[in-house]
Amino acid sequence: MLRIVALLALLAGSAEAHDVRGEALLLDITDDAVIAELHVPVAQLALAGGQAPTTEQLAADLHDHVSLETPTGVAFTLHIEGIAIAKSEVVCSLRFVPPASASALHFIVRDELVLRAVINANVFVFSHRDLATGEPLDAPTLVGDLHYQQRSLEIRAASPPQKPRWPWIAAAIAVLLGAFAVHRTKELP
Amino acid sequence: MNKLLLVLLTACGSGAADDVTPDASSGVDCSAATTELDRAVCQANGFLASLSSTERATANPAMTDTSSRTKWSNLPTQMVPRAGIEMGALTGTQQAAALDMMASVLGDTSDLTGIRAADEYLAENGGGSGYGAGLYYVAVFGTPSATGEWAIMFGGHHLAYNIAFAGGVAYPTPNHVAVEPKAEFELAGSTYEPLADEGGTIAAVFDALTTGELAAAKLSGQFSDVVVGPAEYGTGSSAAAKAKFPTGANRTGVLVSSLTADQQALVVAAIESWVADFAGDISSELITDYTTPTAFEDTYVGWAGTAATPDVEVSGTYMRIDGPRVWIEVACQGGVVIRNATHYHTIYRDKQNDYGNQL
Repeated sequence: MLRIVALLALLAGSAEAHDVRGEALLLDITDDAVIAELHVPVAQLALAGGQAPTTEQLAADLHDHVSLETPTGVAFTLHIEGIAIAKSEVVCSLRFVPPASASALHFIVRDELVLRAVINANVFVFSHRDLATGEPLDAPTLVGDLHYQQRSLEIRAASPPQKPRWPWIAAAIAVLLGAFAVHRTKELP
Repeated sequence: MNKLLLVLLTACGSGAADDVTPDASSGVDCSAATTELDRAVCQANGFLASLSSTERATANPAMTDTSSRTKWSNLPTQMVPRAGIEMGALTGTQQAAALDMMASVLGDTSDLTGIRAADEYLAENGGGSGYGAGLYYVAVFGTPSATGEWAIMFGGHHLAYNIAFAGGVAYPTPNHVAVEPKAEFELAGSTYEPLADEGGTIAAVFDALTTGELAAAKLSGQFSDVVVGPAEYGTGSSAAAKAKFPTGANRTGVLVSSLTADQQALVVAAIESWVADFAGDISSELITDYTTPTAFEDTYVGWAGTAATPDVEVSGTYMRIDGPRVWIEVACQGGVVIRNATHYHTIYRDKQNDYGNQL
């Protein structure tokens, strides 16, 4: 059900003539960091900021208005890995690293990039993983939305499943055995 | 007599717009109905009877299909699917039956007709095939009866009627009406100006405020659209919409009870311009409830925008009425197809009884 709404939220903005979508914040939650992709309609950014967005201004606004923090209020460190400004949409690639000894799996997300000025704005928050199992999903699923009366969202995710290590260990042993065999062959008269 | 007139008008090619007015009559006879509710039940059954079994399967979902009951939107139907059957896919007789059903629950069908005509106008004036009077959908949920739970849904781009029935009472919200173009336009020889009444009456509320009242009624922030739009789309619940009604410090503006009697009368007129579009049995009690002195002690009028006073010709102008139950918003947006003019988005909700309080 929520996936339908999620798809709709994205679909709603797909026709340029009706650029009415909200922001979409897509999260990939791992043990060490939260990797986020933020899609923001240019028109809404312009409305919030009073002018067309620039990369420099956006970087500053991201630091000022988009945050993840631990449930006790300690901010994650934000690394901006890319900002792409297209005709109708801005896409920001972000990485949030939790403070030392804190988990990246449990946090509060806030995004006032547009909401600080535009009262009817929405931020649809999606996860690339099933929050209950940590398994990757075929398509991002809506996990909540931010609006003027709901300005933060608490997210708790299960740890992503660990990839089995035995194939790598087996491969490493095979390489070592091979190298040893070559070495012994060379030693033979 | 009316039926004869309709037949004559149809036969003469009355100048009705293509696809807006059907080229046939429904043939549904509800003359034996003694109340508006009985007539609505009769017309809904008549509409369903006009369909084939395959069509009926699409147009007559179960009341338990709550997801479909919340599938309405302001957006064109090719962008956001609706529940029910497409008007453009029906015969003239079937379309007439659907519109007769809508006429039985609407005291005034001019907005329904005018909004569909506006979409046809957009299609013919640069909007293309994503617009058109045929791209509207109609559904009857459940089994129409004078006492049971059932619902009528009719909508498309800029239009959503959701009328729920329970225990012989009809609940007409959420109701979304919007229009582009906002100004008067002509289509196939007929002239339309839907929402002129709504836009005019709510603007009159703010025109009548003093400078001090206007300043007090100004809401902080900007509004590019209505706040409580179709947030619940496809969820089968009204929860997402209810979460957006302002609470606490977010309920701001000027209290209607603080206004003069003349100013209050303008607020009543504005509320009536949405609610009284529905048949008297549906609307009269609601209007009474929304406009009592007690209700006005908890009803705010507010506006936002970049102009010194609310100006519907300026994009971003926003006006609303926020009562203990009634919720009416008007947002003026830039044109999408007709670029040089603003257009209206509006919503009328009942905080307690959207969807008959069934969802």
